[in-house]
Amino acid sequence: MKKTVSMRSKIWAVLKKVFNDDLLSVLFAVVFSLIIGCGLIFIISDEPWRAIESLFVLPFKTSYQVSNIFSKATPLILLGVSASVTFQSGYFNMGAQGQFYVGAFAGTMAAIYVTGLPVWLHIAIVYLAAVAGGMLYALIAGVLRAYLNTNEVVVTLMLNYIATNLIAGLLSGWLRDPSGSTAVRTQYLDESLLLSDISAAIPINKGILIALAVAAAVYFFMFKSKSGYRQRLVGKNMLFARYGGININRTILISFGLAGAIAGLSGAVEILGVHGTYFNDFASAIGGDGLIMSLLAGFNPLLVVISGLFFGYLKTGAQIMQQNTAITRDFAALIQTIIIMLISSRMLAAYFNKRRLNKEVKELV
Amino acid sequence: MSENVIEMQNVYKIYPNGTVANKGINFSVRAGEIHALVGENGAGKSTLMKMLFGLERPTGGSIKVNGREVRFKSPKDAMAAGLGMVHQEFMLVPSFTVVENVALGNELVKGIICDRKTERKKMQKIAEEFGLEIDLNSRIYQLPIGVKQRVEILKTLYNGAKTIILDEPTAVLTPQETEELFQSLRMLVAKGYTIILITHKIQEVVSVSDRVTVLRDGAVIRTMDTRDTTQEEISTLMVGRKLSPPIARKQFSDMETVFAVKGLNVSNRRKAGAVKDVSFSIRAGEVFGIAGVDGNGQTELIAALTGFAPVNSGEVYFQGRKITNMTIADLRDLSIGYIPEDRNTMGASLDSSIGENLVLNVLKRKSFSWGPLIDQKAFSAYSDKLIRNFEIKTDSRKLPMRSMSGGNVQKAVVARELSEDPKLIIACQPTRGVDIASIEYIHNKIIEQRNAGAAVLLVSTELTEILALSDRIGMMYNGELVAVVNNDEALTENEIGLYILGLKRQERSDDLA
Repeated sequence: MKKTVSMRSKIWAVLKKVFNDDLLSVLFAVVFSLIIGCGLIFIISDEPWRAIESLFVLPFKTSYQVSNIFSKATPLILLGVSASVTFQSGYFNMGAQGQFYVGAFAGTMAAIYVTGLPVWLHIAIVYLAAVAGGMLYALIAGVLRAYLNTNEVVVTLMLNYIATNLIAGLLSGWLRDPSGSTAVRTQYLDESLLLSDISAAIPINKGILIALAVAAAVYFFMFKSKSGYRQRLVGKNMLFARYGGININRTILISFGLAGAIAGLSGAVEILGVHGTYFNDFASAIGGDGLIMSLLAGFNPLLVVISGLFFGYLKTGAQIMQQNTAITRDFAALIQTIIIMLISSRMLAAYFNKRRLNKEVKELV
Repeated sequence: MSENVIEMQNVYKIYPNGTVANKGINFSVRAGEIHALVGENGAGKSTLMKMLFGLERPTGGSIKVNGREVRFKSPKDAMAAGLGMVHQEFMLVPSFTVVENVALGNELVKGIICDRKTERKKMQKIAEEFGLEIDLNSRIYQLPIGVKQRVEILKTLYNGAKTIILDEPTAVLTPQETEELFQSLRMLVAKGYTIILITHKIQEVVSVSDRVTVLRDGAVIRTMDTRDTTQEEISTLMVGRKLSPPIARKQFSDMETVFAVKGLNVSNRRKAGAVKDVSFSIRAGEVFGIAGVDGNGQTELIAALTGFAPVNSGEVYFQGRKITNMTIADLRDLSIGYIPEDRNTMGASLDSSIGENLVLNVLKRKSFSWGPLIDQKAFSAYSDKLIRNFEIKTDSRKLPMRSMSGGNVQKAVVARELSEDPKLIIACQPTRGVDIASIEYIHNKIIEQRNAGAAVLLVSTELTEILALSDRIGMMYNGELVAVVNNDEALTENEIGLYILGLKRQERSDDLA
């Protein structure tokens, strides 16, 4: 009897070590929100069991659906990693949406209008254009923040509207597909530029590999490099970082530049891996999803992979549910919202508390 | 023997998070005595008094006031039972007058109008009776700290307190103000009032109290008559062991000047002239202490010397090189160690790991690189070395800084700033709010560095600290260095008090610079 008790407490201790408090609260929020979600399904649906089966089981039924999970997870992971970079550095980049679109658009332009190059070089230029586009677009907010102390939340939010609407304007005018299609989009991109599946045996788009590589690289940058150390130090305690002689403005530029580059890359991956053309507003609200992935993962780029895959799964399930029942796929967004309300109530409170303290301290000195 | 006004028996306080603040405390106070309650930070003094005053509820045990068992739900109940408390942070409304503050919550009314006249008369009488010199018509924000404290005492008396608890009342006072306070306390007990004095300054205990109770780790170690004990005994009981004698100071002669400040003027946001024409120099192997009441320009002076604030005019030299208005980053590359005033916001990043805090100054070196990444081996070796050498008590460098006690956090700050043997050490309030053992340790480390030839600039509002460490002392008042004196036998705390209160100033002579 006594032995089992000590065993249990030992297991508990190990569990506690592996999942710190925050992680436990995240798991709790996920499970709890799924329970609430299922309850809602029973209330609103005539065929609740079929809905629940569609949501949770069917995503694993066919290889097509499994592949779908990964393609839905790809931008979530990339944008989650992008958001983690700024969060870890103590800033708030609400502009991933705009940077994503600008990156996707720059990549598309490079794909269409750069010609006469060997394919491998052309592909490289497409990605480079996307990365540069996202980075420069994010740096607008970074530079304003660093040198004029503008509030980056407001600036990045406004930049989203500029990007979305400017591109929409271009798409409905000069850049519209010349073939005469009624859709507001560019022409289809050359087949040779697109991202293919990993192999015939594994029909998953290669985009996920890019996402995993970026997550790993950013993890090493943030947690194992000197520059990442400085970024995190500024995020944890700005005054201490200043005291240590760290150039705060440089960390602002690095965090916005890097976050924008990843968001831009994500846009290109989405175009080349999923759509094959830029059609207007092809992934609305994906920037916000990225913030949420990062929040769920406690701003850790490696854990973002898990939260991204989980939501890729939920979104796939919700889509199947929409096909099979009367419940729309926005249901995934609903569950997402419940989870976020449960978690953010605590985590965001702590985050803003620290931000406010940092600000007060900055004013004092 | 007089009867006990307060009797706390077997009192326990366990906080919801499992912290045991008080374990089985028996504490009694006799009518008409000054009873000192001493102990280190975290020994449980404040918790005990909060329970007595109704701010916290005991987990177990009984509290009797005037022989009757009480269960206070709030301070209001405690006040009704004749208790009063003067908190460390004053609880006064700055824009109200003294009369309005003292009467707050207990206003006398004539119809619907406050009867300020009668209130004032009553207060005047109490103030005169106990030698509390206060201009009752002035507003709180106009008053110096010492007077604000008198207002708090007046308030407890006005509310009918017979037993007054004072929480660290002298922490913010100069020696002169402290003496005035003690005189008022003696007058109070002479008229039958009872005083409980919470403090960690042993000297004061001996000079003013009748009895003393020592707390350690949430338990009463001993209660004794003050006249039967000594300062040494009290400090030994407080810390739990004998303090080792301070390290001997090495004698130097004709050492080179390491650090010089000439005609420095600094302004802060609120006013020009936060620092006015300050000049001093420090030689190798010398501790230069700056004494002063908080807020007399010390913070601005240090901010300017460390690159946090711009210098208006004047020059700063380090090892003969002009370093005026250099950036923080450039100053960091010089051999200067800087222990900042506030370890929680500037001296340490509490949410980062201990290791990440310790490598702050050295990480940029090549020896910490492994390709594009940090050399984790060098990183852990360095931080473990500091944890060992500076006796920082922790289980691992990977734990957050926040997991350690204040004393150990400060030791980590000191370790980081002193381990590279800097030629100049700027130490601001290096032992504020840390336990006696850590104070002793940090003081010894500073003297060790001095003996090894470092120049030390020490800023402290604790006169005992200034006197214990300094070779020479500069007195700061209202942004000016009003005197620089050698720290020898002839110098007393009282004399320093006169300078830092602005009551006396030295004729300007050449050895000031």
